[in-house]
Amino acid sequence: MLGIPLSEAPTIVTAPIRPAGSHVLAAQGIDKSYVVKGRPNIVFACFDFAVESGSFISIVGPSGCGKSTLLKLLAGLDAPDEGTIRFKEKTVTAPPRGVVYVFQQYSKSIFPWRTVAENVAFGLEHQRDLDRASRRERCREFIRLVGLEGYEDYYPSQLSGGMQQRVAIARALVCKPDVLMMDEPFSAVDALTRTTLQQLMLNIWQSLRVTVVFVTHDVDEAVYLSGRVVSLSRAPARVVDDVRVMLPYPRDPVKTRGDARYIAARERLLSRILAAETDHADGSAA
Amino acid sequence: MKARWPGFALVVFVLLVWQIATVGGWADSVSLPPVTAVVMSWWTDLASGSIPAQLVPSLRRITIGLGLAIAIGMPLGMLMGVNRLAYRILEPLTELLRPIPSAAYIPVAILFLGLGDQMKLFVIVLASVFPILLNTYMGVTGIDPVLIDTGRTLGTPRFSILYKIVFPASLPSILTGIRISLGIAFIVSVTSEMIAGNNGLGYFIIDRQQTFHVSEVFAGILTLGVMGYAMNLVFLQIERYLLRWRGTTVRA
Repeated sequence: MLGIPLSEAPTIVTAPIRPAGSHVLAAQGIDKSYVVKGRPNIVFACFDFAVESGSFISIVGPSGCGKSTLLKLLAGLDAPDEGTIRFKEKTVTAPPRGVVYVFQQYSKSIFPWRTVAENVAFGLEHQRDLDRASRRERCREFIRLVGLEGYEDYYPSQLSGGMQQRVAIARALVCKPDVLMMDEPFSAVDALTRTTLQQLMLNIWQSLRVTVVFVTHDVDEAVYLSGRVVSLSRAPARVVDDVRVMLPYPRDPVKTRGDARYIAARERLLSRILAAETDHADGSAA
Repeated sequence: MKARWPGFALVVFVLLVWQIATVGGWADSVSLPPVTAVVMSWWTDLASGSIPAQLVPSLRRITIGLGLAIAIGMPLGMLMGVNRLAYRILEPLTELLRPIPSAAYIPVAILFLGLGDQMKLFVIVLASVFPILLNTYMGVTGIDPVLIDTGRTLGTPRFSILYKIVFPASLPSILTGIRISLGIAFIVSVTSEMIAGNNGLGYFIIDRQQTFHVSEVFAGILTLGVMGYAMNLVFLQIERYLLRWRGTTVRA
């Protein structure tokens, strides 16, 4: 079925991922389970994961596989039962300054009682080393970066969904994080808005050199945006596939999607995901 | 304005029926004076200052009582909302005290605090603290966890999350509680003035009833109606200002 046999796909290099020095963020030996209706649901068992500094990495997988849980653990918003999370070699026990999470439900994450400018300023208000003027200047800079100039005094209720998510992105970036965690950030907007937001994210990633960990269920989106795509199985999650996407940046919404390397990476990921799903279905039928 | 005229027409109609019934002799004009007589004594009592003199202590009592109820109920409700232990300690007591009709406290309050302002304020606060406390608690527990996590990931210290996120996010619910308590404070202050008063509109009404100035009794009731309406109007303006961010217009 596939154009290129998996083993010979020339543009893809897979390597075992182990936490190492160049990793800005790493999870080691993570156990995590939730109790659902009285029964423990194991999401992670002895799970390892690492994010290279400066990379744009996507995590894909079926819904409920633990993608968001992994992201929350890495961001310090949730604690593992066992194992450690390390950010810049320091063990994470609370959300570290330097890792900021952008939520899927932007309408729930935005502060509706604050204007656009006040929302963006939120993360800077408790940074004592910044004076009022430089704070305001930095907010203006990031509002401009996400293309919301002129909307500073609007309340979120006056903005479209795509614009609200831009506010959330600017509010995260203004803190100048090392790592931006994005949990299906564009899944709730229309297709055209999604394309513009994807382009915006790529521009931001390239100009700010921020590390991005991007969770999505959309393989196309993952391949298009990332330098590395990690595919997770259903819970308890294991890495089904770990693909390096050797496509150059900047990427073009039309041309990149026609590139043989894009198609190859996409095909490989999809076929592995489908194979894992079939295994899963067989397993539960037996 | 156009949509309101049927409502006003009904008011006029009721007053007209009242007037005709009393003037025509179908109703006992001693216990139900004609509208014109009520309006005339209202005007006289307003001009002579005898109603304004009673209005001020009532308003003062309601304002202070409600202010104290907010100062007690809001922090307690927030505490119960964010702290499980505080909730477990305070919940049984509030559930026990809440359903007791506030007028039932008045005799006991008189025994302990006498007939003065202290007693009245105590009863007003006791009656109006629970709606504020409960609505604050419900507002706090109803906050989407995403909002709190947003604060955490943006590096907000714990206490700042409380006043920068939890408080504004539960403000609509808190204001609902305050509005309910405003009505309760109003009722309880008038009741307490009727039972043990030497000033206030409740006292005015009882005093005029006992001296058979029936049209003045109605003038007092009319004043209460106008006062309640005005207080609600002021409150709605404050609420609209505080919740001005809750727009409905959406721009694509």
